[in-house]
Amino acid sequence: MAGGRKSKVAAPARPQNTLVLDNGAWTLKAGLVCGGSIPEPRVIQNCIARDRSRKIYVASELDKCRDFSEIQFRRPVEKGYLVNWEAQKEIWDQELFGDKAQVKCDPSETRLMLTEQPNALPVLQTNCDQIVFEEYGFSSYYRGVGATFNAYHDLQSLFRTPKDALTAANTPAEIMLVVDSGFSHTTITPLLGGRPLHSAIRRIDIGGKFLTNYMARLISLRHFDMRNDLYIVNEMKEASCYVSADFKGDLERTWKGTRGEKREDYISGAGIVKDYVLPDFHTRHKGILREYDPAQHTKSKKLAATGHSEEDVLTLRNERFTVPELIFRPSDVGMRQPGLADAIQQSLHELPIGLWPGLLANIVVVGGSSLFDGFIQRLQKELVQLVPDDCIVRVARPADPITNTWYGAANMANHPNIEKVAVTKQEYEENGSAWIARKFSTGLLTP
Amino acid sequence: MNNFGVIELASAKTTSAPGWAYVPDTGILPGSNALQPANRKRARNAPAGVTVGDLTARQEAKIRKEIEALERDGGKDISIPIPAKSGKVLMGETGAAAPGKHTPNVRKILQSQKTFSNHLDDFLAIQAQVEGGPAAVGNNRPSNASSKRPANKRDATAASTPTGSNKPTPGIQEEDVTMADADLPPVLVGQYRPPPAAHPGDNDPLLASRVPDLPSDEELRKLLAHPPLTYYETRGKWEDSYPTRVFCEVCGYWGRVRCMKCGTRVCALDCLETHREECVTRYGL
Repeated sequence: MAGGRKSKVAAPARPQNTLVLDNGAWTLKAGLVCGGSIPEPRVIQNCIARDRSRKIYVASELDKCRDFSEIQFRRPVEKGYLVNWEAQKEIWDQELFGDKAQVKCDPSETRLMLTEQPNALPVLQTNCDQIVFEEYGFSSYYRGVGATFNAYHDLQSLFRTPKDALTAANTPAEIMLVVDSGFSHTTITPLLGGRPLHSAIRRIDIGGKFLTNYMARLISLRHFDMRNDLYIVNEMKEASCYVSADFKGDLERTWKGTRGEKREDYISGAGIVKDYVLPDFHTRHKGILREYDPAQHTKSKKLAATGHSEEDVLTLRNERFTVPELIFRPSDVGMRQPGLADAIQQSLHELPIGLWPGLLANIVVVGGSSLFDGFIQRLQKELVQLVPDDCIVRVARPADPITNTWYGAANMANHPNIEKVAVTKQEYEENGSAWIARKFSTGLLTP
Repeated sequence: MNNFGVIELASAKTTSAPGWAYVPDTGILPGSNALQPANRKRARNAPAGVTVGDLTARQEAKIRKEIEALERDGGKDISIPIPAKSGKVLMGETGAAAPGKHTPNVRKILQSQKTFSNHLDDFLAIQAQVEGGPAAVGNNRPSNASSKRPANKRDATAASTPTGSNKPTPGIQEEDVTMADADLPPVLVGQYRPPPAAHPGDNDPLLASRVPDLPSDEELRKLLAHPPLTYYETRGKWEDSYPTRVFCEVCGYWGRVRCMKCGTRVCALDCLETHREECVTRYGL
């Protein structure tokens, strides 16, 4: 540690280009920040896929895939952490360093900024550092907790806080609480000046993957087996699911009733029920969500339709809101973990009460699973009920919660702070990977 | 994990009476025991007769299995090979090393087929070793200071503040840090603008708003210097504060009725009939 802080002086000039890489489990977000300009990141599926005819697609080749039925995936990122380097290297080589790569860079002249999920296993972090330097040879490198990069945004304009003309947006934001609901899990990270308060980080093991699997199970029980068509189920989930503001009421409205005659709401659909037309990958490549039309579902119509209609229609009823409900009540499937609002409260209880007002008034929700309609409203509602009355609770979701972390990291690449935390290849060679791991886990030492 | 993997079979009592019954839906369902072992003493001391409201061992095993299935990625175990790449990557290689040639570290990492749970097990094993007792491997350890310290990479510089007590551990490294921080700017800057002009109602107790004081600078620094927790420590803690909701396994409405044979919850007669078709094929009449 002793030599670490000042050894930067003799280091070569900082590289002009920064490769910002948000390596998520579902998609990786990559872009090259040159000088001050920030391009739009490329969002690429972080997987190797094999379709029904056993053809293999690597990452962005998936765009060429025409038939997603029974497609299978291999993901280098497992439970949010980069585990399988064999697959990840293949994807990086193709997307970032290959001949046809759109984000092309020369590692020896580039700084890499890589995101990771909090509380990673040390051995995985070390693996990552070794690959970055020994295999790719980046000239400079920083690996940080993904949530922290969200501090490098103009937070107050996201909340539309009225402010004086004089106060410019100061980054990193002084205090905020980031909820990152991604593919693998949902994490809660309180930040102070862009640095995580490690003792208060909490996680719920429910993310997009869990929800998709749950939805596939429900549909397989009630309609037909889709457990091998998770890609289609995921699209269905993204198109149709919402977080209910009134769970009891919605459940009541979608209930068919006891025995005998159906309830009126059930027949009419009550505004909740929707039809999802499944893709057949011949005439239709994307599923379509459409309003439920009771007239289409009478027995005689159905009989008549079987003759000529080619559509496979799924009627989604309470699946639409019981699936995302798991984020707020994991115990609904018997999982012994708290809901999101409870977990936030547990996180707050780790911190002195003086920080609560600041954290609660600046909650930012990022990650793909936060895209469900009604997510932030529900979170806000539940939190208000849990925390002291005097605390103002504000929950915001940036315009694009998926790339928000990437843009934050790109902003940080142009921020003086990065110079304090980045590590050069030379330092790695001198001090070794254990030193690097320590330096990254310490992060920004002083504001 | 619990009971050394021995799964208790449901007693014959529950299978003897066919049909259905309304059950009083009181009491908290213990959920899945195997995920986070419950208090064994409480289980032992619980009144033996009231098994109606509790889950049978069979149901708990079922829930556990279902959650494991939901946490998996993809339907079944799949192994997709890396596509053959002989010429492609080697030519496009721009890295420092010669194409196709890796350092020993990199080769080891690339060839490793370990999954996340393998790595996690390794980590827990190392941690248990360091702490000198096998008892620490459990998922839900009490958070004491020593378990905050992941085994192989922590240094005292970053790691000497336990959460529970705010007293710094006496030690040379700790002093080092405080000395370095001594004349640094505050972590949080206070107000940006002067407070508004005084108002006659300022002292009115009804109008006063009580804002808790910001923690001291020292306290904030201590929080920021806290080392990362381990994977299991960050998981949200389950609290038995609310009753668990139960749902009809057929249609997803509230599970108000329980099948007498297997204990599955359903909402009403309609769904019960659907369920019994399956129940009969599985468990017989």
